Amino acid sequence: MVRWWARRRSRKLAEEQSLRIVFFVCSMLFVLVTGWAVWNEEATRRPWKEYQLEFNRLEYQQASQELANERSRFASPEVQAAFAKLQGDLKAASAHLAGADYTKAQQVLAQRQAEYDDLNTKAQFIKSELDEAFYWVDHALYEKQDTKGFRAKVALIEKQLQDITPKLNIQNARVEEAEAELKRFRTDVETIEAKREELAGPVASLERRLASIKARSPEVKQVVVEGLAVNDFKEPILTVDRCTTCHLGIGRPGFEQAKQPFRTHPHREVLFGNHAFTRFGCTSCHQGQGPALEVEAAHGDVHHWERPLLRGDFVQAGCRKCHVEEKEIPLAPIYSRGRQMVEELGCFGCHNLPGFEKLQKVGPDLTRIANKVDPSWLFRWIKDPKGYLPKTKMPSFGLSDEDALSVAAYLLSVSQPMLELRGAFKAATSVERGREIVSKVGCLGCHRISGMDVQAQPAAPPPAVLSAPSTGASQATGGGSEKQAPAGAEKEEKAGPGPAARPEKSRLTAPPPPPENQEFAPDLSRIASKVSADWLFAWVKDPKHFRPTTRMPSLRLSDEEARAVTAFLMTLGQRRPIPGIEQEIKRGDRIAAGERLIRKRGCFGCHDIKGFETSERIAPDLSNFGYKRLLELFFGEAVGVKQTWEDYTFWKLKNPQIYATERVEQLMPNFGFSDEQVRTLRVFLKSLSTQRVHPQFQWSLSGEELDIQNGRSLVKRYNCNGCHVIEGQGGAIGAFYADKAKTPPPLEVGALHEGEKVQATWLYQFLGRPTPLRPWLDVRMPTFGLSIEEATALTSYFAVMGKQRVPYEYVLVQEPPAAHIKAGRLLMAKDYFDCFSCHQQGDRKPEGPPEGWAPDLSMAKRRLRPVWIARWLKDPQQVQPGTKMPSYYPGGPDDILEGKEDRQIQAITDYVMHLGER
Amino acid sequence: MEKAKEKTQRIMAAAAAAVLILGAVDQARAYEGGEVKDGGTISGKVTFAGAAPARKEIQVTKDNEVCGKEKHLSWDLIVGPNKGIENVVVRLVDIKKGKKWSSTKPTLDQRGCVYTPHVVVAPAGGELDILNSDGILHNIHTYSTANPPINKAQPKFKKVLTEKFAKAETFQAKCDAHGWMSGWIVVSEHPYVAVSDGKGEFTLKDVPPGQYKLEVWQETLGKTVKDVTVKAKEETKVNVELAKK
Repeated sequence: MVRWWARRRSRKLAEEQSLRIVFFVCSMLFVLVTGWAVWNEEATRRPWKEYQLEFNRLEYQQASQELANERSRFASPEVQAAFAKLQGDLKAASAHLAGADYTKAQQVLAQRQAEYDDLNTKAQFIKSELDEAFYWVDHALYEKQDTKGFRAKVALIEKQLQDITPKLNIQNARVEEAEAELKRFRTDVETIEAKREELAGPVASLERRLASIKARSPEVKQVVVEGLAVNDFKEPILTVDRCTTCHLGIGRPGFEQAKQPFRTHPHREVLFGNHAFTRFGCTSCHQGQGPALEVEAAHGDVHHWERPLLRGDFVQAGCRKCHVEEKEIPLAPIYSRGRQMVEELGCFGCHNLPGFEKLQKVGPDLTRIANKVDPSWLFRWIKDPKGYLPKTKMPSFGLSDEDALSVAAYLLSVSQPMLELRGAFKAATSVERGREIVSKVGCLGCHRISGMDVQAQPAAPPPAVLSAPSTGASQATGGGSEKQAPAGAEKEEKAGPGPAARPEKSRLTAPPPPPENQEFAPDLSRIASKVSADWLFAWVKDPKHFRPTTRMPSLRLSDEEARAVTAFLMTLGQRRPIPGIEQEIKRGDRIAAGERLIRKRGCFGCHDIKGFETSERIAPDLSNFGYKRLLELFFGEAVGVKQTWEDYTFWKLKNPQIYATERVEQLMPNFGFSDEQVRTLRVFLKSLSTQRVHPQFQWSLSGEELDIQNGRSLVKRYNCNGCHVIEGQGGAIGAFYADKAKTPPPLEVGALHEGEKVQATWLYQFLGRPTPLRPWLDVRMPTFGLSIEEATALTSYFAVMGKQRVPYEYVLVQEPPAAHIKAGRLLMAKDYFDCFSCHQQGDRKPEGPPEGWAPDLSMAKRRLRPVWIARWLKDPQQVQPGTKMPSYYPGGPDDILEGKEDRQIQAITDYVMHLGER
Repeated sequence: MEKAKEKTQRIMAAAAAAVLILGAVDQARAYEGGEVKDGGTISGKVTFAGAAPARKEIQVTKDNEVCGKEKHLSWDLIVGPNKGIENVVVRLVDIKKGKKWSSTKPTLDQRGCVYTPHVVVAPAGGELDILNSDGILHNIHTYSTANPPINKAQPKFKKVLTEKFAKAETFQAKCDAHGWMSGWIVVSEHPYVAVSDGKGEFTLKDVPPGQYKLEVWQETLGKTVKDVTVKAKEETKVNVELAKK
């Protein structure tokens, strides 16, 4: 080739050579390339066009369908009849408009107008003449002549004007009248036309819509999000999302059943309502590559794109970006539950987790353990906690017998002796009495004891409360045991949430239901194999004495009661001493080995242990865990685990030892999570990111929301739900009482709101120092030893739930009329409502056994809100369905306060609020 | 426009649903009262199997001057001479057509802090007069499920309280002021309900000839169902023995 070219060159001079062919070929190539470039750009690089066309077809179909419906509706006999009637009316009205009456009215108007104009012209002339007359008066004054003659003329003309003005007014009114008459003709036609439009309008507007859909040309749609994202220097930046180029139905109703990418956003009204699309865009919650216009690239499923689309339940992790403070996000139930799990399990004991820094250690204080537990029990517990309490939070560390014994040895050796305990417990009078107390006084609100079984079916939650079913992650349970191939276990989860998995709307108001089968406090069925009687006696008498931060409340047991309870509990289970353990645990080398192990495994993350007061967290910082890159995750030799963040995390939680190798130990213990728990936690872990949004996008809770969140946390912390129904949940202790009247009162359910019922000051004082209100109850409101902040927070919570304003309190502004007090007293007396047949009044108790009594009304003035008393009297069943309080209204007596029921109710309220004073 | 359309649609749907529901209820109810010619009679006796238990004395703990005038014995299981059980409810199931309800209004009296009668039969949708002859505060608290439960005070000045129960159901009535008081209200679609007397005997008259299921119910002994064939102008004897479960 080269030689051929060289030969050619040498044969002829360059000027003589023809380049026609070369030129031709090159230009052809150029044309082709240009053509190809245009084709390539238009056809292959714009896959979104296809989606838009498809969506247009879909929308066209829908609109056509609507049009067809609308037309058939329009064609239905009734509508047609109505339409025909309107047409007829219109015709009649139009005919009327064209008829003689209308012409006559027009003529009348024209005539009156002419008359008016004539009169008006006359008046104008008179006015001009008046002006002239005035001029002559002025002129005469200037010339110092006599003005009398001129003034007379002025008076004359003024008289003329006065005469003509009323006539003019009358004529004007007549013109207006004629105009109104004419207008009446026209309005008939206008109203009929409007009605006709109402019938035929939808068809026309749909037709217009169809035409506009047809006329659409494909275009890239984008939203520029300003300032939500920040760069590394914390400066707000602009981001672009073009997702709606294909996701065309996302913000519009009517595409809920359409296939992707056209489906309407779930919970569109709430989510788009609170997050204006133009302000937030898509990727700020969902992640992915906003500006990209190809499917895979846009979803971020490409190399080096660090934030691919959050799929399935993981999308809930996106909420945390802005909603950092919130513990419960109504539309992110799995995230919320995961957060709750982290708080309960105490993950923050070993890992650094932002937002959990100030929480208390989740495990018990071990600094005085030796006085509490049996060494053999302690050894077995450390070795296998779930062997003693299958539902315990304490994870399994997989320790060998040797190691477990060493840890026990260290804990016992550093334990602070409590000499005062020795011999505190003296044999009790009766075990049976202890059993009776334990079964009645309220222990079963938190603890379970085998042999103490449910007496009655728990009352079904009243229909007023929406209890959302636990959906979401719960759908995919079972399968994927530790032994199973990791990839297999992940498969079913990829199925993603179907429509059924969407949280119910009720989540917007009610808190998520607590996970089932959860135990708040330890099961006491084998307690005697664990603790010493002396310790138990002192503990049940005053738990705070041992650990001021314990959640276990005092039930105000007397010495005798505490002894009986201890005696009963000490019959549950038996000690199984290991021979020779006493010597083993005293060996110095063992104690030293135990200390090393505790340091290594970080037991002090959850427990207070002497010698580790200042130790740092042992495990990695998780504050950016959701965005760890694969190369940062250690898969070890676990070849079965797919190389993704999701699979790594799943197995790390499920069985950390899967990643252990000969050289790399895995220190994380095994929590024995179910697959569902793992998935729930994983959603929370995905949310952990150091990436922040601009502060103006950070959502902070309002005062009331914060009150509710804090209140719910405290309700959970102290397990108020164990005994009381709050927000429609809880009250499980009720099942242990055959007699429903003996169960603790519900506080917050349906129309019943404790905060609406009682005065905040009373509630605050009651929480701090409960006094018996209902003498017929065996169950006692415990003394929780709440701090001032906690009691205040709970009071505020109930007040907010009861729609009351916290700082304001009922104050008696006005003395009630004496007639009311008198009538109230009369109404409540024996001849009328006979309230004290059941209600106590201070020391005056009703007849009969306490089971039949009702609360002490002499407390009402300090305890109840008068507005609530009136509501309660009006219809007790509506406030608290099933209450023993009967309704007196309607049906009050006719001979008191003229039989007016509202006044009678007010009178009783006034009297109750003054009971004991007069 | 769009909204108005939606609204009308909703109203139409609701109306349609209401019509359907009413239709269904009508079908379910469908008891037709009229003249019964040549009706037969079902009569018989309910007896107790085993040794008759003694009635326990009830402790009056309150309002003794009114409630304690007479000694009260428990009403939950009254076995009379010859083992006849009192207050057993005997009723036909699924009878669609028969005699009319008698025009006398049933009453439930509270007298001496006792419900009299202990079991009262009321027509579904008809009225029941609840009397307070004691002149002290009672409250009528029903434990119904098909009908909304009521808990109404009946103070001294309110001698009569008239209640309506829409749906057929048997339920207990109690007084929270006097815990021992207990009565039963039987709400029935049709008048073929009898409550056995002190001898345990009952009679159902004017039953149109045919085959029926006869339900026998006692508050502590539960329910038993028997097949009965009624022939025109003849008396059919049904004897039932109930035992503790």
